[in-house]
Amino acid sequence: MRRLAVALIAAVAATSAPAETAEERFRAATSAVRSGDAPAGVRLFRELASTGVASPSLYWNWAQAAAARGHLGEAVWALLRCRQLDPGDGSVARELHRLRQLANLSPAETSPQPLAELAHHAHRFRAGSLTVALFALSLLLHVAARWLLPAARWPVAGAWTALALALVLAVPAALAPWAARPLAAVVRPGAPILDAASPTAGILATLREGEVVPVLTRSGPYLRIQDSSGARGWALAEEVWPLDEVPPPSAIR
Amino acid sequence: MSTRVALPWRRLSAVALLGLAAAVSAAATTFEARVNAARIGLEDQVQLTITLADAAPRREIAMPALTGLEVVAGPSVSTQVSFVNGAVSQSRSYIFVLRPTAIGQARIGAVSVELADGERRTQEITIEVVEGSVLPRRPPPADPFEEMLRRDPFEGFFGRRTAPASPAKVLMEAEASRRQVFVGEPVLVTFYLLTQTAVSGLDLAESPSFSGFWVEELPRAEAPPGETVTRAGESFQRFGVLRRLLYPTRAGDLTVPALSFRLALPRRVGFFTDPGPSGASTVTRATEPLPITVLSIPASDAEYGGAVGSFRAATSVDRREVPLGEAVQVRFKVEGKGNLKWVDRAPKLEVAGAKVYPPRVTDDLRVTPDGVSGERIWEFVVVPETAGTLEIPALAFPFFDPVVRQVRLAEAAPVPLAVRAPAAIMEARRPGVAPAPAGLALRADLQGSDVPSEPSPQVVVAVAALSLLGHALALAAPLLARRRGAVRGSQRRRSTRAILADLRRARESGLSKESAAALIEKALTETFGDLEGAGEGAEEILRQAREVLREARFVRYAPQLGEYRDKIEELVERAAGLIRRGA
Repeated sequence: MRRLAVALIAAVAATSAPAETAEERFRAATSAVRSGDAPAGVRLFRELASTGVASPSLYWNWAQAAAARGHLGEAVWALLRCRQLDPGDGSVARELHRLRQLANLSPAETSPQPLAELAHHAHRFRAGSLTVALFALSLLLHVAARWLLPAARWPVAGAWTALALALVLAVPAALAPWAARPLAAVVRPGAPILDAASPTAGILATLREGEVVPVLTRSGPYLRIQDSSGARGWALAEEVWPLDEVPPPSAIR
Repeated sequence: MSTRVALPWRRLSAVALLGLAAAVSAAATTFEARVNAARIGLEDQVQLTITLADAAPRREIAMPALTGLEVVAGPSVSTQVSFVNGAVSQSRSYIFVLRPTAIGQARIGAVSVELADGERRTQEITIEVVEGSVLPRRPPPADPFEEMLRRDPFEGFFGRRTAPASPAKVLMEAEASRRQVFVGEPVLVTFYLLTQTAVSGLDLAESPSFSGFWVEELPRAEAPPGETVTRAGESFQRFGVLRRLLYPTRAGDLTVPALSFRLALPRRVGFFTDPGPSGASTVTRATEPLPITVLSIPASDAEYGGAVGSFRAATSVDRREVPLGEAVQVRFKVEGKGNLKWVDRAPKLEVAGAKVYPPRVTDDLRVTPDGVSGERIWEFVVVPETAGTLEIPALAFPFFDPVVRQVRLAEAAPVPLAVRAPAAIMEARRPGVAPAPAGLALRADLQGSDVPSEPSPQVVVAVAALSLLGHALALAAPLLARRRGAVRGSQRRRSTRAILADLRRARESGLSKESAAALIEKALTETFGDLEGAGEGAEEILRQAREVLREARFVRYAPQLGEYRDKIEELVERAAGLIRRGA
């Protein structure tokens, strides 16, 4: 009976203890960066991101902390993540441009795939939502022209116009993201391109920090990538971070 | 490879002949004899020069009488042709080397020549001969063709051969600086002319092929130095005429092949006859093959990279501090003596935090009798990719040192490189880069994305498919209805819109009442079918339609007693309403 009482008290205490919210952890990380402890801040940002927090502010601050440490590749990666979440944020585009110049990279080295860029712009301008709306509108107008307003001409014209627009917008909204390969950013200077996905593989070439490369396939901790010069090979995922996932703690320098 | 040993005086002879053929001058004729010393020792030699300017002799010049002197060599011929203000002048000198035979007064008699305008004579020359030597000693002969000056030139000209001479000998021989070398180590092979007579020309009879060797040509000396050597008890003057630097390319017993030379030996037939090619006989002489033992290098090619010799290395950069993003030139210089010319493999340079581009190779190499010496430079372009202090690592150049017979490393010290941080770059000269805001532009709120999430491509595709399916169904609906109507015996064939358009034509002013009524009747029948067949208990719309139909027929068949336009307008309105409802 006594044991049961102790257990109950402990459980109540545990539930009543103030759990640290994502907002509080974010502020703690930002404070660490502001106070000069950028590595600690980056670690906290990564932990937050790995718990599923998807906030443009998180990746923006992460990019600022990485850039302050001179890790341009990591900053580029974080900004691209930020842009994915808030494609309309002009400050992200400006910061990306600045980092690209600092890293002495050409635009082609940070935007390796025209289809991905098209998908990004489609996302920025809500092309997906607009496409869905236009498809629905065209169907409604068609139904109206057929059964509700058979004598009126405008529903027919409207239905076909909406359908044509929807089909045009479907290319960047649906086909471009589907056809574009996933991207990854090089976060380690001189990251090697290997001739095999193996620890004993030979080095074919080296990558430039901040360079964005398409990911062709993945094998364990290795990504098969293609650099801006066309060289294909394998790179460690800890050195080339995919844009669609949060890096493991071991990848943080 | 073909080597021709050119003789300067051959060209001079040709010029002289041209000069004689075109000897036209308004200048005064000069004919004189002179010596280079008026007082000589018994052990000295004196040079007699007879010069004839701006005239051509009608006969050969008579040899002057010599008292107390004898000819040692000559004559050598020197011709000068000059063109001044369009006038041609030429002079020709004959040079003898004389030797005193006794102490006291020696005399050179007057020399005469018969010219077109008469005979000319020189003054007699007296030379005082004392004991010993009073003139500076002559250096040894520096040219094989100077030998001809030492011979009696008058054997053929004056026909006074003093004693029968044995035929002069000419030989060729080859000599190697070393007979045992390592692969890649140079051997200097010199081809010598050994002669007891004058030689007016020398050519290689055939192109040599030095199989197993890499051949480097050495620059030819202006005048080959001569020396006196003895072969088989006979004295020869020896002149190096051809030199080659040979680098063995493989181990084993190699042979420098025998080389054949064509030698031109002059035949003297007269005092004024040029000892040129036309007056020469040609003989061929060959050298003996030279065996060379080539030792293999006791190391693998990967260990020493093919370099043999003695080298040292150094690394330098064009600047020690660089803004991030700018390039640095790293120069790795290897200098020394050896086969550097054939080392192409660049040292491997990897700099952590920087991209290294393939090097450009430049060299400054000289071929000397001791081997090829100089420097080779690999210039790398290194682009730092991160700020901080980078280090150009220590680079090493492996080579085989044949002196110590082992592989050695010429090492260059590492070079630190300071790469300025981004902030420093922005403060410095990067006008194209937007300045970073002061401090960190951090955001305070962990706000989620306020942008409504976009439908995924799959959702868009699904909606598109559904929409297209809906459109297809809407398009197919009339067909289905028509089929259903056909089953029920319906007469409807056209769409409501088409029927209404047809009905609107009944309002047109030019139409007769019969035609207008027929259009109304047709529209109603197409829409509702056989209205007369519908019973009294039919639904309201059919009943109203039948009413309109009957009125239309009445108008159609009624006599034209008045204006039916208003009635037709009314019937069209009523029929259109019913058709819209019925559709």
